[in-house]
Amino acid sequence: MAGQIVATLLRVGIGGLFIFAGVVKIWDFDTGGSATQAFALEIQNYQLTTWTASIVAAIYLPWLEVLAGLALVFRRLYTGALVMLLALDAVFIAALSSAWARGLDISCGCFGRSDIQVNYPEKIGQNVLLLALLGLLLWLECRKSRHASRLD
Amino acid sequence: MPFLRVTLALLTCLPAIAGAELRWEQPIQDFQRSPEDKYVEARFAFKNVGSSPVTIRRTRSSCGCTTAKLAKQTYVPGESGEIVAKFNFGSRTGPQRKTITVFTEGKEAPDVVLDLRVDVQQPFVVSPGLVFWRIGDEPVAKLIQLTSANGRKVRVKSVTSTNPRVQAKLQTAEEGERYTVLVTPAATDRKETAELRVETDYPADAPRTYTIYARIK
Amino acid sequence: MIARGLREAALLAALALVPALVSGAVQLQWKPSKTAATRMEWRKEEPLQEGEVRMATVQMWGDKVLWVDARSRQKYEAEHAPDAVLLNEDVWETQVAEFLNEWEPEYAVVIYCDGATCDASHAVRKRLTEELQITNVYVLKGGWAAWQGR
Repeated sequence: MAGQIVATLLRVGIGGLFIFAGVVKIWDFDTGGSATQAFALEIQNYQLTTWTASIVAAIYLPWLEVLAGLALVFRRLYTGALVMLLALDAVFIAALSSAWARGLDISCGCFGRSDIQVNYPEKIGQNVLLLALLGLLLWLECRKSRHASRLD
Repeated sequence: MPFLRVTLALLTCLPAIAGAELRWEQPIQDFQRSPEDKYVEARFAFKNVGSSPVTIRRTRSSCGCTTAKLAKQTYVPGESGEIVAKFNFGSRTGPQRKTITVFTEGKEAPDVVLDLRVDVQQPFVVSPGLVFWRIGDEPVAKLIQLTSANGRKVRVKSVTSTNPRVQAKLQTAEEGERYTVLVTPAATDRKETAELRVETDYPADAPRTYTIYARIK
Repeated sequence: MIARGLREAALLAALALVPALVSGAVQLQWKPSKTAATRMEWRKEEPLQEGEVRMATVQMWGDKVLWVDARSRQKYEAEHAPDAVLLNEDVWETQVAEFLNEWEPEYAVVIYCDGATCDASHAVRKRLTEELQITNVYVLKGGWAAWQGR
């Protein structure tokens, strides 16, 4: 029973995290305008996509995050949302690793030997943890449906 | 139940969001420097006045040659730290402003935007820095003003041209304060490139030479 | 199980398309154009700052443009606009002579740096106009990103 509560907390917590992360990529609350262009530039910094692809991704990805996050919170299309978020997170980890391997400074969009360099191990580690938690939720869901079908 | 224990262990790794707060002593700092200082270093001190540890996850500088150094990234409640920002002037002069945006763990929005302002006061102004003639123009002399600024006394020792077909003549209006340079091309029948080196006596330990560019195009 | 997961994920992806397409249409002012390639431009209402010029305008100037790259030497050497000259505040002393060698008074000088939020290009413009008193100097709105998206 306690396990059930923890699973619910995880589900709602991670769902909320993705909703928030998606919303701030759509709307910049600090300046009161669209955050899409800034996000497109961030994507471009990874130097993995063409400019057009970066714009398309900057428009589409945040909405995927928001809807998948909502799906988690309200337990609708739950399995699909977990699969979707696992895929998105895996892609992000791959992009981060690629940028790390190439020694890219993705923290400053402009030239400037400035900033604390993005702490790649830390960032990748955080997302691997998130990946693990998503995987855990998916595994629990699989176990639950298998268990339910066994009762028939 | 092993599942419960494992999950709780994982959860404690996640940063605590509630009660995290850094207080910045002087987020805006103003300096006055000369170009020969080459750089300015500002220390932005902060203290964790919240009830949980704060981790600075990244900083972003407004574009430019500013480096930000941080000894470590996580600070427990009560602990102090500082971001040391070093701004190299290069050949920049005049009012400069560099911002450093600091992001902390658990907050999507920036924690603070540090403001580093420097007035790099140039001691000597060369105006204009470029004179040009088009091919076929009258080879008239062009005038360049050399002026000491910001309370300095800068003496011009000489003005020499790198190209004998473009002559430079120095005239002293007021020693250590104002000079003029008359630049005259021998002819404007073809393309020419010339640099006029203005030798000064300031600063005493490493006197600067300023460059005036002359072109015939 | 996997099949259901993929099916639901596909449904989510399709659902997300709806607000994304609306958002995209609003922000990009997607207009079917006569030419085969459709151009993407950010909201036209965004005002031009002092000295700025849009990529579309520069393209109308044709050949009489001298491109100035105000980014880092690394980025310049990786890729730059055709015949662009590297000039930024870090290498000013060594590079300005080369810039002047390429410069002709009839040219429009268009400076770009990394992107929409970069100020290096404005700094270079300020020095060219104030110190060297060169007119016809502009900053490309959107920077290198605008060049790539032309």
